[in-house]
Formats: sequence, structure tokens, C-alpha cells
Amino acid sequence: MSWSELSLGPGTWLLAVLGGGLLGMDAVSWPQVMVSRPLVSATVGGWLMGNPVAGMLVGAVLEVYALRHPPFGAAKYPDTGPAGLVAGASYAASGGAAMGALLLSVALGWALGWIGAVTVHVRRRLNERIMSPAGELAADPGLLEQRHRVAIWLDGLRGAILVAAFLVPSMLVVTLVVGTGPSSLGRYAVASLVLGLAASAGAAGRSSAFGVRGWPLILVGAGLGLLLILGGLT
Amino acid sequence: MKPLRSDHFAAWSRTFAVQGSWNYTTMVGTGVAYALLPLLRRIYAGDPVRLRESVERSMRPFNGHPYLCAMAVAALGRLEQDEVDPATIDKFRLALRGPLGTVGDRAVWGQWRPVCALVGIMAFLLGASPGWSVAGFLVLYNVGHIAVRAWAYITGWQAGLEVGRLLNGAWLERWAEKIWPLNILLTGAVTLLLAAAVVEQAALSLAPAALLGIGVVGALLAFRFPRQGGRLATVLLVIAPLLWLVGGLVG
Amino acid sequence: MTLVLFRIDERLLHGQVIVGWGMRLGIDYYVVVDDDLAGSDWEQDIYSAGLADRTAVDFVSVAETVQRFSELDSREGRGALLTRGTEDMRALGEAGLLSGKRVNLGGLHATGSRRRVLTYVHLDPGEEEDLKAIHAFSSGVTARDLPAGREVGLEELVDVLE
Repeated sequence: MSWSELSLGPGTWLLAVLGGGLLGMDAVSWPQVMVSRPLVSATVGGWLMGNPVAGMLVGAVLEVYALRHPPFGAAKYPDTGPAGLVAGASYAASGGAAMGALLLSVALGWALGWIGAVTVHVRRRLNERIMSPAGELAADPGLLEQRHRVAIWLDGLRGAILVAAFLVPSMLVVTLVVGTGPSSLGRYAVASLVLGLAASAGAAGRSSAFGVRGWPLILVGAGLGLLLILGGLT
Repeated sequence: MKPLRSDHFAAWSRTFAVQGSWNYTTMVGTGVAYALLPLLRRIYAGDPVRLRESVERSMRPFNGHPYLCAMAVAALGRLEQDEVDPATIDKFRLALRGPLGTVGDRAVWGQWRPVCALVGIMAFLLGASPGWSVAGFLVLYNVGHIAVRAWAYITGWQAGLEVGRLLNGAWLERWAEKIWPLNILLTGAVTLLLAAAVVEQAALSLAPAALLGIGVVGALLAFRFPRQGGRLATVLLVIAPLLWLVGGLVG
Repeated sequence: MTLVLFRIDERLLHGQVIVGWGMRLGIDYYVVVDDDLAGSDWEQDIYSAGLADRTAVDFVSVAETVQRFSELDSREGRGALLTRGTEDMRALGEAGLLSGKRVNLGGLHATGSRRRVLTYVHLDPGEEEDLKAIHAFSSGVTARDLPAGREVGLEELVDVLE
């Protein structure tokens, strides 16, 4: 796969941007059915490019990374809807087979998730203006409803803009990497992602555990995974 | 006037958008007012002054898990209908935002969502198609999601001021304390399967036993020191494509 | 053990405290200092609803805290003491209970008379004075919403206000 073979029609681009709007809205504003999780959004991105399997592989890696960022209280967490879509679409568009493209798609998706988090913060500040002055809104409930809906639409617009701005550049960069074959450092690159997944899983496990007593279960789970592999079930 | 069944349904369905105007001043307060409006309009029909006062009260700062905000919306509606004095309603709001956040965060964000996501990934890694895996995740997760919202709304309306007694030791909390071992177990299993899928796709000569050993030690250390483990995970994620690119360029 | 966390947070027992700090520090019991709450059963029911079964909580007035402090500070396990505002924490400081303790400022949200200092801290001039007094009575006051968050020193908070 090279740049010249890369194709993205205006219809697909528009669909991706609209999808980015819905996925951007879902995490916080409406309806919170979790289509914004990377597991879903990256698969949607892959499906748009004709390769949902590639998209879902990216989504699975991003999901394990995202698990350690539950939105408890004021905790900061990546905005994985539009980011997952872009990452999944980028890997799928690159052919969905090259390891370098997978590594880069995941890293770009993660970075875009945190860029998305900044836009979420900006939007929350903007909402302060939209939802004021309080007295005026209380006096006119219709206005309150209208402003609330405007705030939701703006969240959708935020997601759409993220996809519109980053989809094509991300696809181009990832496709460029496809030409870079494995080298002597290739296996260290793969090992880096694998160990990153392990560290992320450990940190995620701790945020799920009620206290520190759950650590042996990580081992039991890994053992179960190993049995499934050795038993030929994967 | 008493709210009709259709008013309740309208209020409940608006709770899906309760965080739509989340902001640092009132947090979810304006969203609570938005969701409450179908009830308030009925309760204060023909009395615009009291409607305005109740909307003003409802917009004040509030926070909580978005799914359990349905309980706050219903309970606040009930207090308005029962003509509870505004000072008590304010105290009720202040008290309720704590447990609604804690119980919901722990049960939904902390347990249910990761468990469903891990089941979805597991299905994919064991051979299910992406479509079925994603659909399985969404259906499984949202059965729980809708059930929590419905229970929260009904409980809030029935209990009103006494909602604390029903929340104390509620099924959601008890259930969260039971499901967490499954969550960690699945995290371990899915991560190993996913790592194996990545290694297989790489088709490079990696030492699987050494990688497994280092991975397990790394996961356990990250469990013990989650902050540092999380940072290390991010660094490794960024380093991976850089190593690949540098290796390719250097040859 | 002892009380390992002294926190000013108008939300008292909520997710950031119970899940964020409580799980990180391994908190076994909470002491909520609030005169109104100490006498209201239905409010206590709601506030304590987010706690796990094994976690204990005491709702006590400022006066009772002063009276019972040595017992509250020497129970088995690790404890956290919470006040709704700066005034009650200052009263504990004036009674000499904060000596050698660090005080965490966790959440004071926007009202008409407060100015924004951090996204989760809004202060009026009276509260600023309270914080300076608490700082003098204790080993120091810092703002931090969650254990993973940035710790902001009182000097920085005051700088923002001035």
C-alpha cells in the first residue's frame, strides 16, 4: 500500500465526520451508550475503510489503554470516540497488515484522544457562558432547554471537527509508514507495545480492585489466556 | 398537579442528556433542571412564579454519576410535588451528589463498563467477527445501563427524601463489590490474548517466554504502583512506532 | 493508626474522596465534622450511602470533635477527617488539633461571592483568611483534588487572588 493507492471518497469522508460528531457527543453529552469507546469507534473507522477487523485490533489495544482512565470524579481521561475512529480508519486504510502502521495508528489514536480531552475542557468552559445568566434561564425554561440542546450540538460539532482535521493527515502518515519494513529494531518496537499493554493492564486492574488484594487475579487471568492459546482456541 | 406517566417518561428520557451542558460552575446542575422540566411544568402548571423559583433551585450546582442522576431528577421532582420547603431541598441536593457519584463511578465506570468491553474484546480475539463482538458489547452494556437508569428513576420518585436509606447497601453497590474479581481476571486474560495477537501479526522472531515473564512482572509492578505504571505504559506506546521508524530509516 | 487525611471539601463524602483518596490511602474510617449534619439522620443516611460496608463514619459537631479528638485520632486503621468549609477546619486549628498535620483543600465550588482560583477551588476573602490561619496552625495547606493531581501550594492560591 502506498499513498497513490490510498483512496478516500468525499462520501466516506463525510460519513466519518458525521460519525465523529455522534461519537464525540456520546461520551458525555448524549446518549452515553458507549459507542464512544475505542473498541466501537475504531471498529467503525475500520469498517468505513472496508476493514473492520483491522479497526477492531486498533480499538482493542486502545481499549486496554483506556481502561486505566475511568472518569472518576475530576480525573482526566482521553476522548476516545473521534480518536478511535481516526486510528481505526488509518490502520484499515493502510491495508491493515503492516506492524509499523499498527504501532503508529495506536500511538496517534492515543495522542488524539488527549487532544480531544483538551477540547472537552474548552467546551466545558464554553458551556459556562452558554448556560448563563442563570436568572434569565430560570425565568424562561424554553430558553434553558434551547441552550442545553445547543451545548449538546456543539459537543457533536467538536467531535466532527476533530475527525475532519485529523483523519486525512493521520491516514497519510500511517500509510507512509507501511513502506517501512521490519528492521533490527522492529522486535523491540513490538515488545515495547506488548509491555505497554501489560503495564496498562496492571494499572487498570488496580483501579478496578477494591484495595490492593486483587493482584493474584491478574496472574490467574493471564494463566487463563495462556491456556486458551495453548489449547488452540484463539 | 401530579405529573402524568408521559411526564415521567419525558423526564427519564431527558436524563440521557443530563450532562449535555456540563460546566465548571454548576456541573450537571443545568442538565438536572433540563431533565426536571417536564415534571416541574406539570406540578406548577398555571403558576409561573413558582415554576421559575423551582427551575432556579434545580439549576444550582450538582454532580453525580450521569446514570444515577435519574434518581436525583425523580427525587427532586417528588420533593417539589410534595411542597417540601426549599431549604430542605437544597440540603437534599447537597447530600445526594456525593453517593450518586461514588456508587455510580464504582459500579458502572469501575466495573460494568470494563467487564463488558473486555468480554467484547475477548469474543473478537477468540474468533467472533468485529460486528458481533461490538454488538455483543453494546447490547450487554446497555441492558445494564438502561436497567440502572430505570431503577434509579423509580427509586428516586418512590423514596423522595428517604432515598438515602434505599441507596445504603443497594444492589448496585453489593453487586460492584462482587464483580471486581471477574474484572481483574478478564483484564489479565484479554491482555495476554491481545499481546499474543499483536506478536503473531508482527511475524518477527520474538522470545515469547521472556516477553511473557517481563510482561507479567511489569503488570504486577503497575498494579502495585499504578501511577508510575500508567506513565510507563504511555512512554512505551509512544516509543514503539518511533523505534520502528528509526530502525527502518537506519536500515 | 491515625487520621491521615484532613480535607476541606464542601461535597464531604463523594467519589473523589471515597474512590480517589480513600482507595489510594486505604481509608478505614471517616470523621465528618459538621454541626448541622451531626443532628440530621436523613442527611447522614444519604451521605454515608456511598461508603462500602466495612468503612465506618462518624458525623460529629466541631465541639464534639474537639472533645473527642484524641480518640478519633488514635483508632484502629487509617482515618480521614472532612469539613465542608474553611471555617470549621480553622476552628479545629484554633483548638490546636492540626498541629503537625497537613491540610488538603479539595473542593469549594462557585458561588456569587467567590472567585475562581482553580477549576475546583473558589474562594471569598473570608475563606482566604481562614486558609492563612489554618496554614499557621498546621504543617501547611495545599490544594489537590485527586491523588494524581497537581499539588498547589497556598502561596500560589493567594497569588491568584491578589
